[in-house]
Amino acid sequence: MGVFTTEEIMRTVEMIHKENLDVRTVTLGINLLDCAHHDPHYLQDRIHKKIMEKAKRLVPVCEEVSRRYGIPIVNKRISLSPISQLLEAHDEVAPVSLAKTIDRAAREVNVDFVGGFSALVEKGWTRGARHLIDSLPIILSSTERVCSSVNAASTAAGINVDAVKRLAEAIIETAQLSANHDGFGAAKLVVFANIPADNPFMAGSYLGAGEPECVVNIGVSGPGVVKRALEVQIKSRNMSFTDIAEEIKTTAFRVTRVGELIGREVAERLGVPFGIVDLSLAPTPRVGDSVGEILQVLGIEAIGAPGSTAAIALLNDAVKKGGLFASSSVGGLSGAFIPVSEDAALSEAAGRGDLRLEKLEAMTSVCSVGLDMVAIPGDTDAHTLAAVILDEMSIGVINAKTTACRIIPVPGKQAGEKAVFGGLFGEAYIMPVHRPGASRAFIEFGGRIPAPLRGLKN
Amino acid sequence: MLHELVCIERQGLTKMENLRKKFAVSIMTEDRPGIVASVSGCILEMQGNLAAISQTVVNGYFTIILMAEFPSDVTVEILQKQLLGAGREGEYSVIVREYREPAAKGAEKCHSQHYVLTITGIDTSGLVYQISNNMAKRGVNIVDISGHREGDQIILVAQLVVPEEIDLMCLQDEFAAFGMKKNISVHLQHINIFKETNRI
Repeated sequence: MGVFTTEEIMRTVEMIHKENLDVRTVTLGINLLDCAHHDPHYLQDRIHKKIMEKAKRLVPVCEEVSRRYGIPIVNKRISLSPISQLLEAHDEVAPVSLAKTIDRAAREVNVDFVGGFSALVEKGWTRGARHLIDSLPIILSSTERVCSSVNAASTAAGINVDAVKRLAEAIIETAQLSANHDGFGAAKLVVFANIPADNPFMAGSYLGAGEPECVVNIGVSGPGVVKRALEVQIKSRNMSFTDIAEEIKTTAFRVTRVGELIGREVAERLGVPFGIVDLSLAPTPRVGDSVGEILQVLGIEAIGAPGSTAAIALLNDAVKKGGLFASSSVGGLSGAFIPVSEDAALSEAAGRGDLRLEKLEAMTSVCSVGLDMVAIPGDTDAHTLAAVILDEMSIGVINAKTTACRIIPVPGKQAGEKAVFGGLFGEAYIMPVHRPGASRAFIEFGGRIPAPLRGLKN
Repeated sequence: MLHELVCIERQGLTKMENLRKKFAVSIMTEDRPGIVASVSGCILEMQGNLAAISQTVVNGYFTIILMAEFPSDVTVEILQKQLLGAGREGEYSVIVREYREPAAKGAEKCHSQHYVLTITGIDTSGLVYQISNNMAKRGVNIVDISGHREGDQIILVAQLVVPEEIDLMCLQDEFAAFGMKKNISVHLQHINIFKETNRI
């Protein structure tokens, strides 16, 4: 077949059509800082107009490019400048009406989600950030597509424990206000340490400082492709860990190349710069598209058993190496995701009690991105939830990496019961939280945990 | 040593300057070791120079197509006779034509895109005809095609040159409907996806 062998052609076709290789998201970043205005009506109008102008062609262009290459683009999304920065001169009611305006614009341009209802509070509050966080329960339970992220910690600044406490309360309130959907509103809020400015994945996507006026960022998928490649190789020959790493690298290379091809073409057609490809292995609830299943192929029979952390570390590192060789524009989170509800194998492991919160936390110290889509009992108190978040933030801060928490306290449900979120958000067995209430005095100290030595790099 | 190399180069240039006629040659025969050697040896003896060559073996049958330049006194008849004689008695089927620049080449480069069509599933008679006939009617050129069957399963891969005025989504939908009807998988994807996933 000319420059390609039939085997090469069919390998690519199988990756796409049998192993669930897709572009998980094309995310268009839009700078909104030029929309700032002290009058909330002007502010809303300017933001609506700008989103419509910049994003109106996003979905049709993605569909054209998707058809051209035969690659599904699962989500089309928008990320915005941190909205808290536009709320500094406004009162406490402004965030809700602004969120509804943004939600309407997202619906009108037909994107799946819009991120950036965000604040950066790792060192302290501003008026806008405070108003935004206070409004999150109403916003996230009353809008459809608006997502929020708050950076509460960084290696340079330490951890803002007061912000973490307030966010824990906001998460519980949000879940309660969306109790009829198993607390789903909380799935649209991520608390970060070291939030990346160019992450295309939701709910944590926003357009950070230093980013262009408008930019296309790409998130690829590919757990199914990695799993299949390893399965075939492990069955056909004796493999060492070095061989396994090599196979993952090769596969990650192919996956990343697909993402960059799509990203550059979408960007060119929209007339905006291409930003980054986030090479994270992002699972879906579909069987065969799971990071957990990769661990099983690697011989971890029960996910959460000893060896799970080493296996995910091996996977994460090899994915990064393959991806970095494939593209000079790698960014975002770029690791292996382990979102419990969105990964059928992880969810089942949580249901069987094989995967516990503590082991999951250990695994997040060597991969991306944190305690993600974890359902916990609805009666978990705010101090305990804040302590869970603090533990995860500490891993990020000390290791100078991104970590995050997207935790859903499911109203009216207890450990072992199932929460159903639907679609790509999947379903999850509720994981027990060890010794709730036992960290109250620690959390009560408040203030800020100082930046670690690692933050002083100059 | 350097002097010798320069001399060889000069002799080569003199030979090249005398090459005036270009021929398209196709040879088919049962495969065995030594066919390429006998054909290229024959061309060399006739002071010819290969310009392009492509060869494949399908189910034990060897085919080669090549373009070669020869001195101006070489004719189609002379070249065909020499190539027939390069093999064993009656072994080679040889077609020779004087080469003409394809008229559509320039236009094709400007207004078309290369796509790869892949078909997998249960083979039925007339499959290649139905696809190729449909493509011919639309002005889609098949520039490369290969396939093989194992049992009743076929894998068919074709590289198509699709004029830009053709509605790609419409074409893909038609292929998908055709695949549904025949219970086979049919995919049409831009060639760049294969370049990106298979080449460093």
